[in-house]
Amino acid sequence: MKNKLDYKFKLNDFDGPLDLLLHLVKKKKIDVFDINLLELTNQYLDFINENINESLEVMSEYLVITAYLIELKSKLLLPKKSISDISDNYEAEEKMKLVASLLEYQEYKNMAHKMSLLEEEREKFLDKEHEDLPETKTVFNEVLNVSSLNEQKIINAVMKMVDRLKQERPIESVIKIKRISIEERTEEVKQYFKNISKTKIEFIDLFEQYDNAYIAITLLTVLELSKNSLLKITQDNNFKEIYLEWIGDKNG
Amino acid sequence: MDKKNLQIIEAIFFLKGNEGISLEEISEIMNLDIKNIKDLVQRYIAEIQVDEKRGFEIKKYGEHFKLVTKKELFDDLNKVVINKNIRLTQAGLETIAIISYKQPITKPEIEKIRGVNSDYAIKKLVLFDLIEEKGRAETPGMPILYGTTEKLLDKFNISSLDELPEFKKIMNDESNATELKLFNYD
Repeated sequence: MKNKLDYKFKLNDFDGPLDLLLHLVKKKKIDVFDINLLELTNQYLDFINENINESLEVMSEYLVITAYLIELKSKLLLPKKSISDISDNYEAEEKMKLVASLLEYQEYKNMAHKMSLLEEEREKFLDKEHEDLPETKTVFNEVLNVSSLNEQKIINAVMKMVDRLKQERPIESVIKIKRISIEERTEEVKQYFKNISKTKIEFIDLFEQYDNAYIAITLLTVLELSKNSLLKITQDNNFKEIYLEWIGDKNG
Repeated sequence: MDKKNLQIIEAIFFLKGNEGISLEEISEIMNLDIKNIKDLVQRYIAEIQVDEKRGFEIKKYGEHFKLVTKKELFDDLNKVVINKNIRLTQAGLETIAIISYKQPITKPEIEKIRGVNSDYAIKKLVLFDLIEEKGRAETPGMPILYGTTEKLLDKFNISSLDELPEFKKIMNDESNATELKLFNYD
């Protein structure tokens, strides 16, 4: 008769090799300090062998520790005299290290759980999107410091803008996922400026759809046009609208 | 005079929404000194806390005060708003827990504790603005040191890092435990 312990766990059931080791220890229902190092290593390696056909991506997470444990096992099995780089207390030391790692990992796992409860609690307090107050000047008016700018900040800024746009401007038409190159998009932007009566538009006017590829291509196109001195990008203040002005030849 | 100021403060909290506002910023807007502002804000918070007819309250995350609806009204309000919050994954939570307690900390150090590669988890946390680069370690390779942002405080509903859940020390000698790091990803 199969009991609960026979349930076949897969690698995917664990958050990683340390999680697996913790599970194996707990299954024995003994204190972490009382584990038999060789036995634990064997159980771990057996489990890895049984699940060796699981996805490469999952397996790769277990590689380093598996390699470590294989080495550990071989050192534990060989007669001590035949290995030079092993101390008399090798087993005890390795066990201490393993126990320390497992306990520390477990403690952070517990903290992670407690933090997820806090995360959940925060969701019960509802808040509103802030208003963009054009007249609000803060004493900490940040001058855009080029040296503090990095690609992460730019990406964050674009993502925040997109989120804001999605809320303000619901898309009216059906979204067609269209593959487009920078050259094609450049032509589109040029045409757009040709067709409208004014030379200055808001950045967000260029967006007809909001899938990531389209946004990325449009951003690259705008930057490319700016680099080639065909477009001028201005912004009056942080968090205000971004304006694009066509400064190239209208026929160009 | 104070009555008007309290009204203005309430209006500012309302308009600032989830961005929140610091005492310095309020002081700048209202042209009053910070001590004055601090008193007014504390008075305002105390008053709305006592007033049982209020549907909202003020939460403080780091330096920012935010106007939010009362927790107990959440179920009554679910027809008004769709909760669009993104929850962190297990990997994200583990990583953020480690960084929160051990900051500043490098990616290799995080990976030693978790036992797995944490590249993706860290990238996502940076994207969510929950952690940021706080400098570089002096060790070979000059790996990036990560620490938490003010947005993390909001995300986990705490007003400061002191309010993180208590961490129990496992080994009596903490420094010993650090040296006994097992798995090297270097």
